[in-house]
Amino acid sequence: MWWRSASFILDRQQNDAALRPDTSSTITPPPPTESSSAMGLPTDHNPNISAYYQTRAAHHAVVTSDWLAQAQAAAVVAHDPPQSTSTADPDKPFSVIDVFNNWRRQPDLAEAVAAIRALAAVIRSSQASTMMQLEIELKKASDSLKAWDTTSISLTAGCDLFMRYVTRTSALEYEDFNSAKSRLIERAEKFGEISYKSRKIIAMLSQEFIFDGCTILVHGFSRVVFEVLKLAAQNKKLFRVFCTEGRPDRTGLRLSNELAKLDVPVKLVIDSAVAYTMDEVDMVFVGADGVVESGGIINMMGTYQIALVANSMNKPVYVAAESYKFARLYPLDQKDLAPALRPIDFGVPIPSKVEVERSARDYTPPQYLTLLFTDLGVLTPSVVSDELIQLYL
Amino acid sequence: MPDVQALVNDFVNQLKKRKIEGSQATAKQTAEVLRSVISQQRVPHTNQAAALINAVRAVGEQLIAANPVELAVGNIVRRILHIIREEDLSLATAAMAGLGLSVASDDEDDMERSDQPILSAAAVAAAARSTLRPPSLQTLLEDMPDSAAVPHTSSSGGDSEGKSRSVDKGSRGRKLKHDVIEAVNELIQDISTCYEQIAEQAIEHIHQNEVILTLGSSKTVLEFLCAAKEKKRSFKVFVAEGAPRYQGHLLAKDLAARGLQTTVITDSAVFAMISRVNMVIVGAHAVMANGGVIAPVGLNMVALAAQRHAVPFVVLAGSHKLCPLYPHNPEVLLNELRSPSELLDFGEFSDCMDSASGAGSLHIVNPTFDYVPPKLVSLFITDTGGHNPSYMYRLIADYYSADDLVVKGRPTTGS
Amino acid sequence: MDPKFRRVGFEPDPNQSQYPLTVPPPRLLSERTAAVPVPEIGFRRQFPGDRIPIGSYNPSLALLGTSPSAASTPTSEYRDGDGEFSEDSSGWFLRSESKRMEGTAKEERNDVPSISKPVKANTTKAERRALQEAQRAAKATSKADGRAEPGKGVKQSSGKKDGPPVTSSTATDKKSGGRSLEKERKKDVPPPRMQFDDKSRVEKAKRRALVNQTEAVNRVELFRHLPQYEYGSQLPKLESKLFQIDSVHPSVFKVGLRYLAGGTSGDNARCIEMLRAFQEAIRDYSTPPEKALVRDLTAKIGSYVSFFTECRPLSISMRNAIRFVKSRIAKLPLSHSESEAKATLYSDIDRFINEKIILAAKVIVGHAATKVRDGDVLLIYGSSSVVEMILLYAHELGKQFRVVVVDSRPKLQSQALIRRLLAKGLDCTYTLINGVSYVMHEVTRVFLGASAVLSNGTVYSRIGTACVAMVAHAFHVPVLVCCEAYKFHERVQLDSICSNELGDPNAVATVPGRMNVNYLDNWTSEDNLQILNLMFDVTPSDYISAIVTDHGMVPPTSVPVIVREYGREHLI
Repeated sequence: MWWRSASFILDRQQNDAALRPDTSSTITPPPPTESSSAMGLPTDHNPNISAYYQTRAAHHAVVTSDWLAQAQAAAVVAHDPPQSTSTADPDKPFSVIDVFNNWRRQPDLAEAVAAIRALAAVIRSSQASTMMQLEIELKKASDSLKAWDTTSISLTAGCDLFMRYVTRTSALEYEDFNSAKSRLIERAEKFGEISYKSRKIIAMLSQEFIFDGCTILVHGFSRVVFEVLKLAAQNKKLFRVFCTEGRPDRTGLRLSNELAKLDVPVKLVIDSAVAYTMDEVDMVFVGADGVVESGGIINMMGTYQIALVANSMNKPVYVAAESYKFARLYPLDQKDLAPALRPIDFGVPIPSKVEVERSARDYTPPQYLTLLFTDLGVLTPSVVSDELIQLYL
Repeated sequence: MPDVQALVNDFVNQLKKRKIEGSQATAKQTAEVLRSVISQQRVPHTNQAAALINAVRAVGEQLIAANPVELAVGNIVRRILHIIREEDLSLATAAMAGLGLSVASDDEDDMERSDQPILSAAAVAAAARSTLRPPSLQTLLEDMPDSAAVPHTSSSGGDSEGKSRSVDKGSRGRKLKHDVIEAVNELIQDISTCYEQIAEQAIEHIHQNEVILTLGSSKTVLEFLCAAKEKKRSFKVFVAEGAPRYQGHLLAKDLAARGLQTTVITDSAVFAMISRVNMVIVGAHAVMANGGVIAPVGLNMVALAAQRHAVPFVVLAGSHKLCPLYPHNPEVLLNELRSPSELLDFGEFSDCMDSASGAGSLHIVNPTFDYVPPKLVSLFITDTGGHNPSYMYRLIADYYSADDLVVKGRPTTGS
Repeated sequence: MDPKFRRVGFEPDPNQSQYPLTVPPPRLLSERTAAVPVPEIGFRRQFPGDRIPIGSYNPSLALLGTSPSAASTPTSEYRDGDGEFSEDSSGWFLRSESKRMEGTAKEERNDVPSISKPVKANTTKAERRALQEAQRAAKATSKADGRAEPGKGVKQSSGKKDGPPVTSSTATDKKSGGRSLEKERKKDVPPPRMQFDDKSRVEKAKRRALVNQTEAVNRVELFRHLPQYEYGSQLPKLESKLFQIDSVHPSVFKVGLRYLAGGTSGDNARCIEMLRAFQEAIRDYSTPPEKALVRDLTAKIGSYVSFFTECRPLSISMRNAIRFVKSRIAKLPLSHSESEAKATLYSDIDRFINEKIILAAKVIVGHAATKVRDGDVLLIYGSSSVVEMILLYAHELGKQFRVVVVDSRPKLQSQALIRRLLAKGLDCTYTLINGVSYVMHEVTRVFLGASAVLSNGTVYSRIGTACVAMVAHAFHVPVLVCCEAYKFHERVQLDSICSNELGDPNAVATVPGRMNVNYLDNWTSEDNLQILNLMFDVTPSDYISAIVTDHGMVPPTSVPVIVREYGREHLI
C-alpha cells in the first residue's frame, strides 16, 4: 500500500512543489482527489482521505525503523525552504494554505504551530494599513484555512487562539500599527517555541506520576507522550511500556522502536489485547488531537475503547496535550464530529460490497479521563471548559 | 533571631513526634509560627517580598519535612506565600496608580475592579497576575514565557517575582510586612472559625427525620450535626466506631449528650446499615486538587457502600485542608502506618514476630488514612460553601499561587 | 429466515395448548413425579385425619376423639402463633397434643411441657410394659397408615389443588405433582421468625420459654423485630438447673448453654455439636408408652430445637440439618424396631456429618486450592474453617503465597486463626477491616466463608463480609465464597436488616486491652445512645465471582439450581 515506500513523502513533496505554481494562485481548497492521486492511492479505496490524516500519516506512519530514518531525513531536507518561499517571492500571489502545508510537513511541528505561522505569513505579506483591515484579512485567511481542512482540530484551535489574541490584546490598540504588526509576527514566530516548550513542561509535570516499577499503556504515537516517556527514562525511572499496535497505520510500532532505542522495556500489544493486558497496567497515557470543551479528548481511533476499559478497571487515564489543542467544540457522541477518513489495509482484497469503517479518530468523554497534563499545569477535565470560557467570553 | 528559631524547632519536634492532633490545630500553629517568622524577618530596602518569601520558604520546608503526611502544614505555608505575593502586588499596583495605600484587601476581584480605570496599572497588574495565577490560555500568547512559563518545576527560589517595581517608597517595606501580618492574622482567624462557617450550612443539608452515617470522629462533623440539632431538626445518627482509634465512641457520646439519637455500630456493619441511611457525612484529613480526599481509614469502604446504595457522600473540610497537589498513589505515599500494638497485643504475639523459628512471618498493617477518589464524593462543604469535587481546582487557584506548589526544589505532587 | 425460525419455536403443541410457553422440560417433569409419593407428604398432609385412629387405640383419648375438629383447631392456631420456636410446626402440634393426652390420662402431671425420660423413670415396670404394648399397637396402625399414605397423599393433593378433577393428560397430572412438591417445600421452610416487635407474641413466648432472657435496654429502633437480650445474665441460673430440667436431654442442654454463652463459633462446629447432641438424645431415647416413635421423636427434636432457638437463633445450616433429621425420622420404615430405628437415625446423622460437612469441606478445599497460584496474595476475612483448610492445604502443596488476614471488631476471631497459620509457617499480614482498601492493592484472590447462601445468590455471612467483597469488587479482585452445599437455602434476602442476629452490645462498647478507650463505659444510662452489634450481613451476588461448593465451583446465579438438586437429594 501507499505507505510502504518511504519515498512517498519525497514524491509528494516534489509533486507539491511542482503543483504549487498552479494551485497557489487560488485560496480555494485543493480538491481532495489531487492529494490522493499524488500519493498514488490504490483505486479500490475511496480516495476521500482527510488532510488531517495525511499529516498524521506523514508524521507517524511507520513500517520499519530504517524506513523511518529515511522518511525523516527526507522531511528534514525538505523542510528548509518554506520560510523562504513565502518571504522570498513577495510578488507571487500569496496562499495561506500553501504556507500552512509547508509548515505542516515538518515532522516535529504541531499543526497549530503551522497554522499560526501561516497566519503570521499573512500578516507579513499584508498590504493592510490599519489594525481593522489586518484583522479582516486575517479572519479571511483563518477561515479559509479552517475550511480547507475541517477535520483538523488543532488547526482550528490554533487559528482561533491566534485570532483571539489579535482581537483581544488591548495593548495592541495603543501602539502604532507597524509595531503592533511586528509584535504579532514576533509572537507568531515564537509560537513554535511555545509549542516546543509546552511539551517540555508537560513532560516535567508528568514525571511525578510515573513511579518506579509502574507499567504504562500507551496508544498510538504522540510526540508529547513520547517526550514524557523519554524524560522519565532520562530521569532513570524504572518503568515499562505497553504499546498498542495502532492499526492500521501502526503508529505504536514506531513508538516502540523509539522507546527501545532509549532502553525502555517495551511490550507490543495488538489493539484488541488492551482489555486482556489492562490488569497489569498501572496507568494509561494518551496524547490528544484536540481537547474539547467538555474536557473530553479527540484522539486516534481506539482511545475511547482503551479509556472505557481502563475506567472499568479503575486505572487512571492520563492525557498529555498542549493547551493550544483546546478547541471550542462540544461533541455529544462519536458521530458528532467531522470524520477524518483514512485508507485501511486489510492485507487481503476486500470485496466491494463490504463496507469499511475508515474514521481515524474517536471522542473520549471526560468521565473516562483522570487528569490532563498540559502546559497550564495538571488539570482535571473540568478545568478545560473553565479555560475556554475565560478565553472566549 | 534565636527565639524564632527555637520556636520553629519546637514546632518541628512536635510535628515529628506527631504530638499535634488534627489538621486544624496543625494549620493554626503553622500559621502562628510563620507569623512570628515574618515579624522577626528583617526586610531589606529593596525586594522585601522576595526576602519574606525566602524566609517563609526556608522555614516551611523544614516544617513540611517534619511531617510530610500532614498536608495542612504545606497548605498553610503555601497560603502565606500567596498572601505575601498578593499583598506585594496590591501595594505595587496601588503605588503605581497613585491611589494611595488604602486597598489592602486580599480579594483579587476587588483589586481588579479598583484598578481597571488606570491603564498602565492594569497592564502591570495583568503582568503580575500572570505570575500569581497559574498560566492560562489567555496568557499563552500574551507574555513571552521568559520568566514564569515553567511554573511548577522552576527550581529557582524566589526569583520569579522579578516584577518591575519602579516605585519603592521608603515606607513600603514596613507597610508590606504589616499588611502580610494582618492577612496572616485573618487567616488564623479563618482557620479557627471554619467550624462555625461550615456548621452554618448544616440546616440546608439535613432534613427532618434524616438518618446520617459517619465514621470515626471529626470536630467539624460534630459541630455540623449539633448545629442542625440546635435548629430543632430531629434526625438520627449512626456512628461507625472507627477502629483502631475508636474515636467514634467519643463522637457518639458527645452527640447523645447533646440529645441526638445516636447508634454506635462496628465498622464492619457499614455495608449492612448503609441501605437505611440517607446521607453520609464525614470529615477529611485533606482534600486534593482533583477532588480526592485523604480521609480517616475505612472511609473508602464507606464511600463505596454509599455509592452502591446511591447515598450522598458529603465531606466537610475547612479550606486549610485544601491541598494544591494532585495525588498520585496516595494510598501509599500519603499514608502513615501506626503502631501495630493498636491491633494486636504485643505480649501475646511476641513469639510470632521473629520469623527465625521456622514459623511464618507476621506483618501488621495499621494505616491511618484512606484515599477516597473524587468520583465517590458527592459534595464538599467548605467554609466557602458547597462544591463539587470537579470544582476543587478553582478554589485551589484562588488560595495558592502556582509558583508555590513546590516549596523549595523538593519534588512534590504527592509526597 | 429469521421469522421462519421463530415460528418453529412457537409452534403450538396440540396437547398443551393452554400453556404454550410454560411447558417444563421432560427431565424436570419426571423428577417431580418421582418426588410426589414421598411418604412425608402423606405424613404431614393427612394429619387431621390421622388423629382419630391413634386416639381410638387409646381409650383415655376417647373423650377427645369425640370432638376432633374442636381439638385440632385451637392447636393449629397455637402452632401458628409461635411457630418460630420449632423447626417444624408439627413438633409443636404433637407436643401440645401429648400434653393434652397426659392431662386426661395421667392427672398427676400436667405442667411438664412434654413427656420424656422422667416419665419413664416414674412409671412402674408393669405400667411400662403396658405402655409398650400400647405403643406397639400404635406402631402397627401407623404402619398401616404409612402404607396407605402415598396414594392418599397424591390423591388429596391433586384433588385439593386442581379443583375439578383433572383426567385428561399426564402433563396436568405432573404439574400438580410439581406443585405439591413446591408446596411441600414451602412447608419445609421454617416459619417466619418470631416477631419480637409484636408485644403479645413475645409475652406468649416468654411464658413458655425455658430460658428466660431479659430484654436489653436501649434497643435500636430499626431492629425491634429481632431478639436482643442481656447477655450472660441467665447463664449461671441455667447452669445450676442442668440436672433439674427434665424436658431437655442433658447433652442438648449442655450444647444449648454453650450457644447461650457464645462458646462455639463457626457454623460447622455449631451444627456438628447440635447433631451430636441429637445423636446422644436419640441413643437415650425410648418411645414412651402409647406413642409412635416417629411422632414422639419428631416432637422431642422439635422441643430441643426450640430450646436451642431460645439459647441462640439457629443458623440456616442448622435449620437444614434439623430438616434432614426430621425427614429421616419421618421416613423411618415402620417395620423397624425401636433399636433398629435408633441405630438407623444414629448412622444417618453420622453420615450427614461426614458427607455433608466434613467430606464436603475436603472437596471444597480440593476445588479451591486449584485457584491458588504461586506468588498469590490471598485475603481472608473472619475465621472460616473451610478457608483455613484451603490455606493449609495449598501450603502443603508447596504453593508460595501470602495471606492477608482481615479482622473486625468486636470478635477479633482471626487472631486465633493467625496463630494457627503462623504455626504452620504461612506468611501473614494482619489488619482490621478499615484497612482493607489499603491492603487490597496487592491482593490477588479473596476467599470468604459463608453462613448460608441464599437462593437469590446473596451470601449470608459474618458481618463485614459484604464490605470486604465490595472493596475487592471495586479493585477487581476475584472473590471466592467457600460454602458447603448443605448451607444453601431457598430463602431470599435483599438486605441485612430483615433477618439477622443481634450480639451483645457491650462487646462493642468495650475495647479489650485498650484502657484509654472507655468513652462508652456506662452507655446504658444515656437514653439517646444505642449500640448495635450485628452478627451477619448479606453480600450481593454481583460482588461474588464464584461460590466453591462440594458440587464444584458455581456462579452465584446457579444457587437455586444447587438448592433444587441438593434439597431433593437429602429429602428422599
